[in-house]
Amino acid sequence: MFELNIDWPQVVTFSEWFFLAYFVVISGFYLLLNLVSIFNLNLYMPNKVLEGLPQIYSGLEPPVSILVPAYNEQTSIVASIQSMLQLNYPMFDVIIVNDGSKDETLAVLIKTFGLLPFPEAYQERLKSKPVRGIYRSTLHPNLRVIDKENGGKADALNAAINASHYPLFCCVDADSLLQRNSLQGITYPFMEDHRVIAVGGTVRVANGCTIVDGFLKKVGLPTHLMALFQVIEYLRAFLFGRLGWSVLGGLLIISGTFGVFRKETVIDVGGFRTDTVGEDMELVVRMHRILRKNKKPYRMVFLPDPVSWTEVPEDFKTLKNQRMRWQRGLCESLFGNMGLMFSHNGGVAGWLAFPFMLVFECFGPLIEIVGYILMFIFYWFGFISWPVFLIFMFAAIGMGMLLSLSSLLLEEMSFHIYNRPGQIFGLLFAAILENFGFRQLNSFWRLIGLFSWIFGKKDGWGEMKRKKTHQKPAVVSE
Amino acid sequence: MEFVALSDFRVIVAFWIGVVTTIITVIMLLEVLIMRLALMFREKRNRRLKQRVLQWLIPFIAGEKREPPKVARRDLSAFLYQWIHFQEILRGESKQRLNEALRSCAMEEQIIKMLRKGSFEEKLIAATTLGHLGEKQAWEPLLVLLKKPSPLMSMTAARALVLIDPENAQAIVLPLIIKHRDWMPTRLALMLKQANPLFQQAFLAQLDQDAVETQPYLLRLMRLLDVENSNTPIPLVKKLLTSSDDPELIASSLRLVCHPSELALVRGKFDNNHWAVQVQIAAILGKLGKPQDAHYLVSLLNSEHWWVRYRAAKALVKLPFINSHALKKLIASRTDLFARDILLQINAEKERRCLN
Repeated sequence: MFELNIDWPQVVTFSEWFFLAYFVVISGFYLLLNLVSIFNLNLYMPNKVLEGLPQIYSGLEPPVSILVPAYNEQTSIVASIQSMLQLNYPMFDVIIVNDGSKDETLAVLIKTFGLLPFPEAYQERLKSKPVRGIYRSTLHPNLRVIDKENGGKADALNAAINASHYPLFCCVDADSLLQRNSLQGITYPFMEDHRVIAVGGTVRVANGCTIVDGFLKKVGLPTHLMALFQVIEYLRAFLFGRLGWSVLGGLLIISGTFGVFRKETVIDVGGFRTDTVGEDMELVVRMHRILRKNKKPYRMVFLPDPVSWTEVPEDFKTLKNQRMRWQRGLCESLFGNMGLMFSHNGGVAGWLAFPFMLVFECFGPLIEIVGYILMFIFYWFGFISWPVFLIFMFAAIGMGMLLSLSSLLLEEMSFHIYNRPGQIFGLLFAAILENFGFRQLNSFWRLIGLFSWIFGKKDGWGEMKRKKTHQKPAVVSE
Repeated sequence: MEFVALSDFRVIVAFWIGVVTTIITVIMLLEVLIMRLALMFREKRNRRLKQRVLQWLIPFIAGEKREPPKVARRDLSAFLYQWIHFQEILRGESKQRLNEALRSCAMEEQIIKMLRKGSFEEKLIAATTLGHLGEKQAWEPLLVLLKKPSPLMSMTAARALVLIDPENAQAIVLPLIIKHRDWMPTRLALMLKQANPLFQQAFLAQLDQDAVETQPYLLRLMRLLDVENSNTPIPLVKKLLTSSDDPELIASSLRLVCHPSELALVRGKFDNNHWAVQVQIAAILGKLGKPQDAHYLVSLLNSEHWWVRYRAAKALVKLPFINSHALKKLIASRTDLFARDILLQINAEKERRCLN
């Protein structure tokens, strides 16, 4: 008879060393990114002193097409488009793609913006589902709408790229709001350095803000705890995650909510992949892989100050689905471009950022959750004492709080957008409290996302339940 | 049964990680609060200062002279920032009045001291202020800043020098424009735009003199100069169009073609297949083209580049002998789908403009 002979002391010792080592390495990495971001912001912010002055256009600003894929966005699309049409930028157009919406998105657009069908010379440089019609606005010469069969966000973006005529395009979600000067800020790197092929901007949480007529009137904090936690998460992800990687030259994510790309480079690498849920990250990783393989000089940059505002989920189900989708997108992006990892000409992206993402972001939730479960099991079976269990939790949660607070410190050092005293206390409270349950829950959802990628199915548009409580209609003077 | 004692090395490591992170977290928390308090006080002071500055400056611009406000040393940069704000938006006589207003405060020496010894931000503000003010005493310290490694600092100093004394600045700044590849083209373009025509002419001459082939990025700036509107051919353009093979350089030069006498030079580039060159040629022919150029424009309608087709179609419909009937005939005769689509689009745009 087979007898299972487990050497429990060895299992406990090994797992504790493994999780401790994992914890030390990941924390060390994050602290390094944090230090890099602090150093970079200290250099970056003084250069901004003259940018608050009235800006005169130089005439050299590259024209930009703003691409807005829309699926069932009848409630939010008008406010977003209105804000985009009022951006401070010398030359841009807005291309909305109605990706076979089942609601009244197209009808609302036709009515609001006076759209008429137009025989536009549309050239299919990237494959996409058939285009049913192209409309031009009679009210805004720089507004066009592509009506096409449903094919998903990536497919809609590919159609919009085909319809765009400018050298740069900016991806914006239909429910996002751009700040008036965002476009001007985000195109600077393209003018400074011709090697720049993509620039990512910051995404901030719109819940709790007052938005009138598609414009942010007052910055506020959400009252819902889950959204408040996400404010901290976004600060952490953007202010030190992406900024740190950008400085090191290993930026692997540019958010599809707000990113500008050089069109010809994107077309050269094949556009957005339609068989992934993380089309934005996948494109960025693929560009790294192909351009590095072909030894083409390039730069991808993240800027902390051009801002786009987006509404985050306030219910468990939507947030869970979003996080699962993000995790699946991450896995697809990495495993679809494994050639980048440790490649001959991989640089920081291939030798540092990619392995980091794979180990700590892709499989991180698995290690984290297994770590928590094992700790409980060891404690339950008496392999470790209560004080030892508490010490391990103390270290894990302490590090989590340190990272959350450091992102808040970065925000305070630089932009301090949340400027009321009550807001800073709210953020401090959230930065501490999110480590007691929310982060662990998030890791659990990401773990489900990882499993659903391994075994599961893919969905199309990530539909989100929106409250729009922060949006107020335009005040119409009589 | 316990396998891990409190004295175990890994428990001690975990404990100290927890302690150190907690201490750093508390320090950060305090730092955030202190920074916020400092910010609140600073903003409150700035708001009050802004109110006082506006109460003094707005009547001054309107011609009503008032006693200048007292400005503490620590408020100097915030005060100057307000003043620069007006300088950047106002034009003509108002700018002179702003200068008068600042001179009435008699703080030139303080600003120069700031230029010499201030922080990075203060130096930028001081240099910009002294440039607008045309303060000749700032010349020497600005020359020092011109050598700083920060491109923003050296450019701000260069701009100030050009504003203070464009003639003397020419010899110093122009070679630096050619040398400094890290100077941001947009800021450089603004500097050239705001400089006087003599400085702009000198810039063109400098480009002509230097190895233009190695400076194609600077040529993009040429189109911003006033010479663009002068309607007289620029010698440098002829030189580039006859000698250069670089498509970007040719395209930049074609942008400056403004006279029918240069058409022969343009036609000399008909065999160039680079899309940027073809776009510029089509644009020129749209303005200056003759009937004999129609054949070339029609050939561009088959280009794989949307902008080439668009500009060519646009140029074609502008030609005097292409009326609606001829255009329809042209559309019907196209076998290439791209060519037909772009002509249909241009036709629709034309019709819509007529309707509007």
